[in-house]
Amino acid sequence: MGQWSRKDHPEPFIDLVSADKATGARKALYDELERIRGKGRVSNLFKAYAAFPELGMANLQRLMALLGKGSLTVKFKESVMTALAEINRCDYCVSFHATAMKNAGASDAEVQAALQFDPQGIGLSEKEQALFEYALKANGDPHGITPEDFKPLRAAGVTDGEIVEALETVNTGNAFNLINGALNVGADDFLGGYLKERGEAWAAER
Amino acid sequence: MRAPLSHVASQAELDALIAAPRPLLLTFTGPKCIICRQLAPMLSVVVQEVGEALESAKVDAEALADISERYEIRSLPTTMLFRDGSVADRFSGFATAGRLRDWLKSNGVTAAH
Repeated sequence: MGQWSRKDHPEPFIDLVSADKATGARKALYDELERIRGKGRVSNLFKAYAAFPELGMANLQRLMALLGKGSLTVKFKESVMTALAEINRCDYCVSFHATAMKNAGASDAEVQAALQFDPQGIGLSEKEQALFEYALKANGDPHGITPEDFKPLRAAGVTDGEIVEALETVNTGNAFNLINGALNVGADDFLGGYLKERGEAWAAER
Repeated sequence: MRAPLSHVASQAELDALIAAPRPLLLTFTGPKCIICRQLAPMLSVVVQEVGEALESAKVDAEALADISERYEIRSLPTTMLFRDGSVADRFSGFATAGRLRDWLKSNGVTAAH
């Protein structure tokens, strides 16, 4: 299944080299992905990035810092990236991040709430609900953010570091959505039943 | 199902929507308006949630300049709520789905059950 906007072009627009054919810096990137994620779990996103393997490795490290460091939950960050993927109409990205949300403990109803941009339904803390709303506004119009937008964040006890963490979640989600969209990168075979059950329904809604 | 808002094609079509018994959410957009593209999925989700309690449509502000002038559209996107044949409220710029829900609720529009 390709991107929503590319139903007539199911194949990616660049060569996604399989793991068994990777050599040199590309193989080093794939090996690092398999070390972190497990055998056979080199995502199509990083197969695309591997056309410039040094950037692929830098982006993997960026992702690992985002998901492994900081104080916000993985469920929050994956819910923001699920919402962004929906906004960006990237079916692979929705499938990937919805699956990641579920792996972080989210229910189907909470995934649906992320897809409907409803922080109150995602099962987040008050602080992360405020940050979800802020993240979506920053994504929609970053130059429209005013001091008023910080009042609910501060009232919920959000720190400067957490604000940057939320904004970098937006940046990372959008960057990966762009690569996937512009290169027509399709969903990974290893994604679970969530993709297979919901992917066609999402595509039909477009 | 998440259908996008349909385009109004003429003043007559808009007048019919405004005269309808249900409130009308109308957003003025343009093909070169980047923030309009960001607002569109927020509007679609919220309009879908509200369901039959609300009519909804969008106007290409450049293509239908007369309508834009009539409603003094100075920036895009501008979103308006009509009730009982007249403008009940309006705002310009981006809004999250959460902000749209609050805005509609404050104007007495909630989901039809």
